[in-house]
Formats: sequence, C-alpha cells, structure tokens
Amino acid sequence: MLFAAPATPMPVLGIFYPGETAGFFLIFMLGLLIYVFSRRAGTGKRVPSIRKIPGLESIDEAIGRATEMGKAVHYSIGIGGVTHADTIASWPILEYVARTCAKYDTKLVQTNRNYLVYGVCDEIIKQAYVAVGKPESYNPNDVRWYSDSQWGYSTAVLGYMNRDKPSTNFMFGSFAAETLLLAEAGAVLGCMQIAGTTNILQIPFFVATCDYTLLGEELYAASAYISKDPVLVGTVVAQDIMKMLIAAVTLVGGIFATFKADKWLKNLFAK
Amino acid sequence: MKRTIPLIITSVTALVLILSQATMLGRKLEIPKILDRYYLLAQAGAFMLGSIGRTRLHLQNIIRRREGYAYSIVLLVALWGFFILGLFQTSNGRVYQWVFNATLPHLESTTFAVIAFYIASAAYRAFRMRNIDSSILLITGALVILGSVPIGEAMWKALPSIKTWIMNVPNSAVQRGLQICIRVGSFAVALRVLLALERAHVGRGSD
Amino acid sequence: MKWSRLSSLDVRWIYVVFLVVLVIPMFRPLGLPMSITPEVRDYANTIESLPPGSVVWIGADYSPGSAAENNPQLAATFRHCMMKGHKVIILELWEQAPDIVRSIVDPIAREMGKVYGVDYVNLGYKPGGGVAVLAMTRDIKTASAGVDISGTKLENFPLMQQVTALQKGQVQLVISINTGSPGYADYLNYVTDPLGIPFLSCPTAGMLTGQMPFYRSKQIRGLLPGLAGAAQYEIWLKQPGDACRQMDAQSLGHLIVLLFVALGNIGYFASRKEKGGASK
Repeated sequence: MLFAAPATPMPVLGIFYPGETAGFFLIFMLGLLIYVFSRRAGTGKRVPSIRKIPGLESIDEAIGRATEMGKAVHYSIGIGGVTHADTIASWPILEYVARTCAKYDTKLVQTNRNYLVYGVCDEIIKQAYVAVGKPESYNPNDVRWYSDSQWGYSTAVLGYMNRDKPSTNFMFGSFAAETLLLAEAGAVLGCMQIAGTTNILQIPFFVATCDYTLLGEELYAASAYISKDPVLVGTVVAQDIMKMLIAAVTLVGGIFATFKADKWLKNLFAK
Repeated sequence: MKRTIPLIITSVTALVLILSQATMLGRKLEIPKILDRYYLLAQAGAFMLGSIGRTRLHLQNIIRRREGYAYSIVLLVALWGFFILGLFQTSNGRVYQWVFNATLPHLESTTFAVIAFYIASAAYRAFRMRNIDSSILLITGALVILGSVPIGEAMWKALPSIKTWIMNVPNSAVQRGLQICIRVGSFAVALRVLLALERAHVGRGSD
Repeated sequence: MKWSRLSSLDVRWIYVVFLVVLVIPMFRPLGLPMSITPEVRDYANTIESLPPGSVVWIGADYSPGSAAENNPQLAATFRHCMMKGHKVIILELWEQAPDIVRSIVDPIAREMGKVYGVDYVNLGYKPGGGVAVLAMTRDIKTASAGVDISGTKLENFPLMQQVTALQKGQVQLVISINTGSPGYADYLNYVTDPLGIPFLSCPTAGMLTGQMPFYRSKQIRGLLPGLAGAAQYEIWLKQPGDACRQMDAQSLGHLIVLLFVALGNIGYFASRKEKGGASK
C-alpha cells in the first residue's frame, strides 16, 4: 500500500502557515497597542488609571495583622510552572510582599510546587531583603519547595499551616483542585486570606473562603497596580482596548451569524 | 548585564517561538519540538536539585533531632528508596509497580476526597444571606446542587431542567466573557515578558 | 434553645454527619430514579450513531484523585464502544493514568471477548500534554516511540496498522476523560477545531461549568458530567453499575450540605435578631 507524503500547505501572504495569520496579526496588534500606550505613559501624557482593586489594597493591612500578632505570613504561588502567566503575574506581588515583610521584620514563609519557580522566588525574596537593607534577616529555609506532586505539595502546606498557624495567607498564582484544601485550612485557622487566580473553576472556592479575591485578570494588572509604573499601566490600558476590539468583533460576528452571513468573517480568521 | 542578558534571552526565545509557529519556515525547522525536549530535561534536572535540597534539610533535622525528625526519616527512606528501586527495576518492574499502586493512588484519592468535607464546611460558613448578591448566590447554588442529583428530581421534577438552563445560559455567558478577558490578559503578560517590561523575575538589583 | 449557636457550629460535627450520611447508602441503597439530561443523551447518541468498526480515540487524562468520577465514565464509554463493535485507541497524558485505565478496560474487554491489538490498543502515558497530542496527529508511531503501554511494538497490532495518525480519515471520534490540564483543551485546540473530528468530553463535575460554553457552540458534541453523567449513561445503556450505586450517596451528601447551609442561615438571622434586640 502506497502512502502519499502529506502535501505541503500553501503559505498565506507568502510566509504564514495557514490558520496562523490571524493569530500573528492579533499578537502584532496587541504589541503595537502596548507600544503606543507605554510610550504615551512614559512621556508623561495622560492614560486612564487602573480602578481600585480591594485585594491588592489590603495586602498592607494583612501583613500589618501578622506583624502585630507576631505570626508568620504564608505566600503560596500555586502549582503552575515558570511558563504559566499566573505565576509570572504573581512575582511582582511576591516582591512587594517580601519587601514589606522585610521592612517590618515579619516572618515570610513562601512555598512552591515547581522547583524552577522555587529558584526564581528564592532570588526575588533574597533581593527584596537586600533592597530594604536587611540581608541578614533573609532565611533560605523559609522559601520551600515541598514536592512536584500536586497533592504532596498541598498536604505539605496543610501540615505547615496547622503547625505554624500563620495569621495571613496569600495565594496568588495558578491553582487547581487543591484550592479549597489550602483556602479552607486557612479559614478554619482564622487566617486573613487574600487570593487571586485566573482558573475560573477555582475562583468560587476562593470567594467562599477568602477575605479578598482577585477575579480573573485582576491578577494580571497586579504588577502595574503595585508598582504604579506608568509604562506598565499603559500595557494594562492596551490590554483593555484589545478586549473592547474583540467584543466589537464578537458583536458584529453575532449579528452576521444571526442572518447567516458570517462566512466571510470565519474565512478571515481561518487564514 | 546580570539583568539584561536574561531579558534578552527571554525576548529572543519568545520571538523565535512565535515565528516558528506562525511561519512556513518556522514550522519546517520544528524549533518548539527541539526546545520542548530541553525544557523537559531542565524540569527533570530541577526536580533532582530539589530532591537534593530537601534531603540536606531533612538530614539536618535528623542529625539535630529537631521536633518531628521521625517524619524526616520516613520522607528520606520513601524518596531515595523508591528512586533506587526505579533505577534497578524501571517503571515496568513488578515491585516498583506494586509499591507505586499500593501507595500513591490511595494517598491521592484520600487527599482529593478530603475536599468533599471541606466543601461542606466552606458552604456552611460562606453561604449566608447577608445581602441581595449573596442571596442570589445561595439560591442559584442550591438549585444547581439539588438539580444535579436524583433526590432533587424526586423532590421537584423541574429541577434538572432549571439546573440545565442555569448552566447553559447565565453560566456559559459569564464563562465566555471571563475566558476571553483572561486569555487577552495572559496574552498581554506574555507580551510584557517578551518586550522586557515585566522584570520581577530578574530582580531590581544593579546590573 | 439559643438558635444563634447554629451559625458557629464546630466544623468537625459537619464532617462526622457528612461521613455517616455518605456511608449509609452504600449498605442501604435508596434506588432513586434518574432522568437523562440532553448533554448525556447527545454523548450516547454520538457513539451510537457511528458505523460499526469506527475508530474511537479515548484520551484518559486523570489521576487516582478523580478516579471515583472518571473510572465509571471510562468503563461505560469503553463498554458502549465494544458493544457497537468500534475499535478503541487509548492515550494517557497523565503519568498515573495507565494503571488505572488498564484495571478498567482489560476486564471489560475480557468479559466481552474482545482482543487486544485487534479491538483496542492502549498507547500508555506520553509526556508533553498538547505537544504529545499534536505529535499524534502527525504520526502515532513516532510520537509513541513505536510501542504501546507494555513496550510491544505497534506494528504487531492489526489496529495500529490500520491507524497511523490521529487524522480525520482514520479516527472517527475523539473522547477525553479529563480532570484538568493536560486534557480536553489540548484535544480541542489540536484535533477538534483544526481537523474537524467530532469530540466528546467526560469532565469531573467541578469542571462542567468551564466546558458548557463549548457544548453550547457544538465544539463538544456531548458531555458526561461527573458521576451523575456516568450514572445516566449506565441507565441509557441499560447496564447500571458503579456510578448508579454511588449516586444515592451523592444525593444524600448534597442534601446534607444544603441542610447545614440552612442551619447556618437560621443561626445567622437569629444572631442578627439578638444583636438588634441587645442594642435596643
């Protein structure tokens, strides 16, 4: 039986693989929007500001609570790897928390499931202590990698929380089924809890057990919100404009699809 | 330099990956396939480093007889014992399979099952009719909880249909809206990393 | 009695009552009837409507943690495929799935007189998630290193001589039994949308909300949501099994959760009334 070699598909616009052109132009468009608004913000022109996010506003209050009670702050970055957007978005928050804890001599215990993420978190916390002028206060044993297994990690964190009884529990990052395990354990212990994840299926568990929850992409705005860096704020504005454009296309597509005249739009995005 | 080089490496790699997916030449070169192999190797290496780090910490616990050092002994025996068994037997070996099947599935199932109890206590504590929003949450939750099981249908025949409508209409609408926003957000985070605007992971120290 | 105390019960009482309520139906089943929801009906009809001898690809992407929900889904699905004379290829993207899958499908195949290699093949665990799925769409032999779950060469199996890639002409249906990532999203991204192969999904109950939009847009043709979906499927097949047996426990469990929620609210309103009375 002869097997014909698979035919090479015809490139679109001479260089693009079929089905990837629309995606590439979306990336290019978002990149352009980010560039435009970052430049605007960087040169001092006015850009819309980010609205108040209660979860991020309450971080200082939560750390203050731990400081007054003489107990630790626990920070979980979730189970995602270094390539997860949630993990990347959590790092600026961790940096801010580490700096604040270093400033007030509050013990910070940070736990990880992924060893590559552990390496980055360890550096972030060490740099935070150095930046505040207290390198001797940094304790490498307080930045922990427990296990590569989801349940191994979550039971280890449960054990830590029940032994040490931290007064504040931060959970920012990529979480899956272990969400309720960690959050409910903290709630039963009476911790003040602030959490954020973009896993829609886990957000309800955080809402039910935490004092403040960052919903969906509020986590992605964290680095801009905390640093107040105009360039980063510009990127968040660009992201919102992109969403509005997508909503507009969805609306137009919905109208055309209702009258069964949407083939041209489907073909445009299929290229 | 300490910060600039990692940022350059990140940006260049991200750009190469985007072009390798989007262009004909990129697909032909199959760069993601090559990089994925190195990523898996890095993960395996990182796991080994993590195990060595954990071993050092727990050995200190044992040597200094810190509180709970018996658990450190159990951990080290389990970690390295299983590792050595795997070296001799590979993952298809009978003893390896027996140890794996006798321990891990049951431990994982138990931990997962604990969530059911935690859901009960979380629902008891959280579902209070404090205001209109929480009342709507409670009523909708109750309808979906009962509509998913036969006892709900036995109580009221229309419950499964109501549950299906809630899942199909309001739930789908919210899911779609949230998913689009989250995907654009993660898209933007990735572009921020590519454009070296996101720098928390390389620290704020001097170059 | 001070009703306000109901709002601050010790959670351990909730755990004890919950445990007792879950265990009782295991010994004294209630036998409550169940109707079949549209998504389960669509799931069953999609498999039923395939011509006999069709190739069905099952992605068994779960771990022992969710086996209580996913095992009955896999068992019922595999049984239905074998009843219809379909050929099944199984791939696992989670490292702990192969042994669970073997313990489910092999006894069913033996019971129904089906032959491994002719009627079904288990490719085993392949790392990489979506990358592994993408590789399977190009060439199964290269993607699976040429061997199945036991290390036997794929060319020894008549089924794998017939199916060389996860492509439209060779595979007629893809089913994902999933509990997280990697899972259904990888098949949606790399198989269903680009290749146009019909797709069914068996999520755990907690994941149902995320997959309903795809069912509504017909990217997923049918759903078996959790244990309830598996139980309905068993009823549809007229072969009640484990899922039907466990539904009574789930029913009572749900009822108990709502009972405690009601008690908590009674306590909450009572304490509000007491505080209001005290301030007067």
